[in-house]
Amino acid sequence: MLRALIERLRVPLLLLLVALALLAIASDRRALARGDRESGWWRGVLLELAAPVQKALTAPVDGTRNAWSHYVALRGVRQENERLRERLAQLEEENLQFREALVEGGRLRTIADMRRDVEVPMRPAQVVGMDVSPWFHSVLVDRGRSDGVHAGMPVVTEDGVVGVITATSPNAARTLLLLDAQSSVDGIVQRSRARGIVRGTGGDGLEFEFFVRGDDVQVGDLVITSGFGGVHPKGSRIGEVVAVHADPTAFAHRAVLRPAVDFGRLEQVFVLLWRGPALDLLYDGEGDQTGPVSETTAGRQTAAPAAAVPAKPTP
Amino acid sequence: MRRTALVAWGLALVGLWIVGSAATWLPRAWLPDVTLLVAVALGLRVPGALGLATAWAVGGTADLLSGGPLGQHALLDLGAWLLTRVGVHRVDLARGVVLVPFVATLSALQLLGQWALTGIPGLGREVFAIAIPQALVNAVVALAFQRLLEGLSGRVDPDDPGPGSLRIDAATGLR
Repeated sequence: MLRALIERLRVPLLLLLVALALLAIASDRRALARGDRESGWWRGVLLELAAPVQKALTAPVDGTRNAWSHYVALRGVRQENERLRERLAQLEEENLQFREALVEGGRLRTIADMRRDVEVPMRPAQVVGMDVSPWFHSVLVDRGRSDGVHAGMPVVTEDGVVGVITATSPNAARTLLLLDAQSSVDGIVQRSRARGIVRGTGGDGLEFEFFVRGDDVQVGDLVITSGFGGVHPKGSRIGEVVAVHADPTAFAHRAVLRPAVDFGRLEQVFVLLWRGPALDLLYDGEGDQTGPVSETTAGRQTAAPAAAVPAKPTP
Repeated sequence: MRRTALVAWGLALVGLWIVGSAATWLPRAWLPDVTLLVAVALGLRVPGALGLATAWAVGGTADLLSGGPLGQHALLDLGAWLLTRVGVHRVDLARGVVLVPFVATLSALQLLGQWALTGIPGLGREVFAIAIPQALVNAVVALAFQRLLEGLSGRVDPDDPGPGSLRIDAATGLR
């Protein structure tokens, strides 16, 4: 009886499922367009289940891959290397900020300002899985809300910008990579201060769209985050210009960037426990899952100005 | 039949986890589209509203685990299930010689569907460098996947008639 009823409802069910899927696509795109990157709790449930399983699945391969260097050839050196890489990331970020301060204002900021600015903690996280679809670029990391990680937080490595957290569960988070066609970040050329938008192409490269004279952007220029996008702090490396397509008749010009980060070798990343002012306004007051980072979740106060927020790893 | 549907969904979930992990050390083009394969296997074994809903749920699971927009895998896998049902009525899809080109064609159609729905990926050389090998991998793995679901559902669902068998149901007639 029940089966017969269900079978009779086949066509309405088909229409309902198609409508639901189309509605989901439309609402997801609308949410992305207005910058609302936090997804619902249902996504978090699957992330929470996926993270330990995928970690367990990648562990044997990673273990085998690292066995030689870890146990035979580089015994003891690997830990030291990881510590030094972390320190190097911190120093390079600080160095970039100092250079930014020099280029931008022509004078050094006061030591007190710097001390305040650099106090943005990082949370190291391990990449445990990639996107299940080859057409989207995201990674699953083994840190979540219980570690103070929330949607909208930037993710970096010692080389530069990786992406932004888009979904979280208590112990896992999904990071939308800069390469993804849905990603964009406000960037400036460090040498000429030419400003524009860096977009993921969905492939291995990035596209920089800028609105100044073509010769203000040259091959070899370094593009960094401007801090204006409200997601990434100012001064993180995005990529290097490898080609410029400047059409003198066009309003906007394009350049091709080689990402600063080698996305094919992502293993360890750092989540900046900081959310830009635009995202904080968007998510403020929406409960624990979407609320701003607090002392209790991040281990220390993370309020920071929009500009000049270099990264510093947590102890 | 319900158990078969549940097994198929479980197989899709485990498959997605494995693919997500394997993608950290293997090129994406070498990894199959698990949800497409499950949708095809469902189309071969689970007809009616149950198959329809399960195919949608399998796609929805991929949506939740992916960075892409919600709903697009659900819609595409629903389409794959429908096309498989249409194929089942016309040819013997359980035979490898038919199933392999069918799955390769479905893979190409899914790529077009994805592009039409989201504009991602842009149809360029970089995309075809992934899409063509993946379509071949899907086609090669499809038969093994179908056999795997058959084996698993045979264990958990003794009422499952298997693909290609004649099924007479008093309520719905001949299918």
